[in-house]
Amino acid sequence: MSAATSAPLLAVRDLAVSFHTPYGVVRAVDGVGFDLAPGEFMGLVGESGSGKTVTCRAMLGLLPNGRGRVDGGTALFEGVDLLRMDDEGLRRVRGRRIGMVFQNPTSHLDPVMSIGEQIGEVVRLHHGLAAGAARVRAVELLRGVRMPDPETRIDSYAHQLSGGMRQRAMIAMALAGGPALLVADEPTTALDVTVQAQILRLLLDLRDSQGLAIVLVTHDLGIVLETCNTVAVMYAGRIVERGPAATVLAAPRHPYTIGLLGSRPGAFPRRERLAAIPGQPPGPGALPTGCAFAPRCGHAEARCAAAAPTLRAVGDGRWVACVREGWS
Amino acid sequence: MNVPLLEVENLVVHFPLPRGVGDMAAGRPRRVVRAVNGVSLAVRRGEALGIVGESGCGKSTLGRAMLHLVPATSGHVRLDGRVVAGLDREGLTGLRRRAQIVFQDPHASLDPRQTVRRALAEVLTLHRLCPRDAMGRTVDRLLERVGLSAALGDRRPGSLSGGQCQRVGIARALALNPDILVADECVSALDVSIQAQILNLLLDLQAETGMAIVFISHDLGVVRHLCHRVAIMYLGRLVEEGPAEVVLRDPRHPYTRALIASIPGLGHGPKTAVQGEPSSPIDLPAGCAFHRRCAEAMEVCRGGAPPARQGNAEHGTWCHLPRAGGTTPIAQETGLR
Amino acid sequence: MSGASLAEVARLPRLAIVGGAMILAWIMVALLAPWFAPFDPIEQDLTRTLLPPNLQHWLGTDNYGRDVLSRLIWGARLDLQMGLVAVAITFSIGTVIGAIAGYVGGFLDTLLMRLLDVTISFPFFVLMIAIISVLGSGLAGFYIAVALVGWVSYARIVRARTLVLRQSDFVLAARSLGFRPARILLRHIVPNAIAPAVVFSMSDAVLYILLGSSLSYLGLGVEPPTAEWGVMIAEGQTYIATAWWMTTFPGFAIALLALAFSLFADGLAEVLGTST
Repeated sequence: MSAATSAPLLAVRDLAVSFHTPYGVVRAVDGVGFDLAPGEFMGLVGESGSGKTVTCRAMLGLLPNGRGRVDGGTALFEGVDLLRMDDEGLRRVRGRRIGMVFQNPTSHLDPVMSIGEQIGEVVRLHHGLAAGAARVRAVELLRGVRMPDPETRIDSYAHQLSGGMRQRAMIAMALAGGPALLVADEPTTALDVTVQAQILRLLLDLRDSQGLAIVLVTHDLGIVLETCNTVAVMYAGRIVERGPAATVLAAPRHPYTIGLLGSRPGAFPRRERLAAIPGQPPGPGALPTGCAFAPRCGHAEARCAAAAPTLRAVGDGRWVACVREGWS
Repeated sequence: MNVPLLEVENLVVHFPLPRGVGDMAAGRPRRVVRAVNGVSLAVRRGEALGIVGESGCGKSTLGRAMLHLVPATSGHVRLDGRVVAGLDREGLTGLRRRAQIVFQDPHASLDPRQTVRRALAEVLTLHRLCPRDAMGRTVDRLLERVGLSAALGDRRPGSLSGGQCQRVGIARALALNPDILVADECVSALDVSIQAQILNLLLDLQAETGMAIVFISHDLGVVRHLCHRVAIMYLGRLVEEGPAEVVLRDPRHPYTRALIASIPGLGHGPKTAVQGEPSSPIDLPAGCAFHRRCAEAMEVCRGGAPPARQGNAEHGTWCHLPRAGGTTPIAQETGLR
Repeated sequence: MSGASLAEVARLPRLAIVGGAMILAWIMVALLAPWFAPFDPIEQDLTRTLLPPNLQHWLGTDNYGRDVLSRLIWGARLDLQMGLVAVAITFSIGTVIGAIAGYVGGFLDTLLMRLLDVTISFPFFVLMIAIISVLGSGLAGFYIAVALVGWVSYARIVRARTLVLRQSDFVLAARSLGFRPARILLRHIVPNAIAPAVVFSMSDAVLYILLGSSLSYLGLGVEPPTAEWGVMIAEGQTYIATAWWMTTFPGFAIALLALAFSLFADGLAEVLGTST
């Protein structure tokens, strides 16, 4: 769509984040960059430890205190660099312009406040509404996320709601400030498939009706194919491939993306071995020099170990970080 | 040889909940989780049977009850046609040797204090399967069969990755040369690339040993890949059962259709195939357990007895109005290649 | 403590290693008392009473002319023994009761836990003193009283862990592999359940050392002329204004041993807390 050509809402460049761990200082995210247009639905894909969640949290200043540190890079959101903002400014942006939804709604909802009070709190804080008006707005928001029976549910507590309803409540809270960007970190991983489909449908409808840009962090390429315009695939802290979701998934070019797709059951005839990627991702602090995927890559050659390949444009809005770029 | 390897008949597993003082004072009856509610199912020799359903549908409890790891409230489990319940210690040891289980959480299913080598040797020793002087070699061979290097034998679970722990769990089950392996969500906690490795391992081991696999999962995509037959569960009951190919291409039960439509990655966009969420297994509705979410529910579905099995011996469905599914997204197969 | 490998010891925080070294040093002192102590701890020499610390008697002498350093060294034997034996007794009884209550459950659990409730409903010191006054003073009385009262904390800790572990996947796996219940309890549940109890036992040892000396001080424990820190303090308090060394050094010894155990306990808690 025209999404990719208009001015970006969010432009991340050379983001680098490191963590203090028992193994020493570990680079969790390195040289990550992407653009997000208004109304764009981007999938940020990778396995556990690939840095997808850290990328999102770093942009929002939500790294664990004292342990995670942004080492460099910029994240321009509506023209302001999020990485150089003070805490006060970030708080303002987080509530109003950027909403967040997490994987586990149970632990992110306050157990002793009703859903309505929590949504009302956000509305009052950022829009200065009175209590009565805030409640009306909270019901509207709940209706907007298709919470069944919102007038009653508004007085429920998190433990009285099902998993899907809790996630709807979280989304309503994230939308309460009227954001332009929604960052959803594995929002459906803890849910049953039939409920997952409902929540994904909801996110798509919100994008269409409110022009919301969405970054969806997920490990599931199937979800990306069904919901996202664009996709960025991360491995060991770096983006290895990005571009339009449909073309990247139909014809992946980085060996890791190819391997991930081959690992998906259903992509092959029944009861035949999957084209699994051998080995396992490098542990924290054990990154190989050069391309981090080389030890598991069937195409690795001598030059892969020399330096980590950077993302290069390969046409059609696609970017690949592989020294072999050029083969098909 | 028409006797199935393992068979459950009208199996019911209920867990009574602890009764609070308030409940007693108010004279409320003890509440019961009706995890499995009358399931009949057979596992045939050498086949891979998938049991699919959402959380709380009772699939894990069914798997455990098959192995006599949770007591059945009523009904029978038969191994080779012989009833398992009430086995003496000898009989139970025999069942344990022939039927094994692998769990979802790879780290939690190993004793954190035991090295891999000690965990495997313990099983072999207790079942007198291996003389002491051959133990080292036997353990090495077990590790090799599940794709682990012998050097990992001296590690403890804490220093192994999830995939490695899951391989150890499989090796421990294999040590007994079981005829049947129950894999309870055994790849759900793993990353996609590791998940594929473990699925390949299960396929290889099944080809090598001819053991039957009961693959319990919420992921219809994985089950479709691995299993010959599939049984779909909803709130403690089967709703559909049959050859995987047939059930997925021609589902008869509305819930099966909803599940299939919800598999991400078939390229039709996320569809709200079914409204709402499963009700709690504590307050089961009368009639068909699915009627509250079923768009096609009629009067007959809302009360009385749950629907009986319909269809033929191979492909059955528990629905008052089963109908041909027509074309499902899987029949068209337009998604990820 | 089974299976505590070298690697685990190496992960202990530095302060814990200091504490462990201090405990070891005290144990060495206690074991080698006959060689370390320059004088006999009991033999009186009324010509040399109440001497302040000097080159011959580093820590001075008491009112009977006995060398304070020698009595301190021999006292370490008794006080360490009281702490460690008391913990060994309470730890064993408590662990067995806790593990059985947690694993078997049902009526037996209810019975044992009611017994526990009754025991802890009395104030600890009052109950100890009451039991000892019935049994008579001395080490045997002390140990029996400790056994009757001290098991409750361990039983509680181990029972709670056992209840959790009984439901864990690896115990289910052990059942599915056909292991007998006794084996599952002894080889898989108990070793995993006792980690917090082991940590607790370190601070508990301090408690029993203090308790032993307090009882001796009150005349309910070890009796004079035996060299024991509590006894020494009791004897020295009459002279506190004129011979400060008689009370100060035994008090210091108790504090040092207590510090050693607490440092070690803290470090152990940190390591076991992260590894289990």
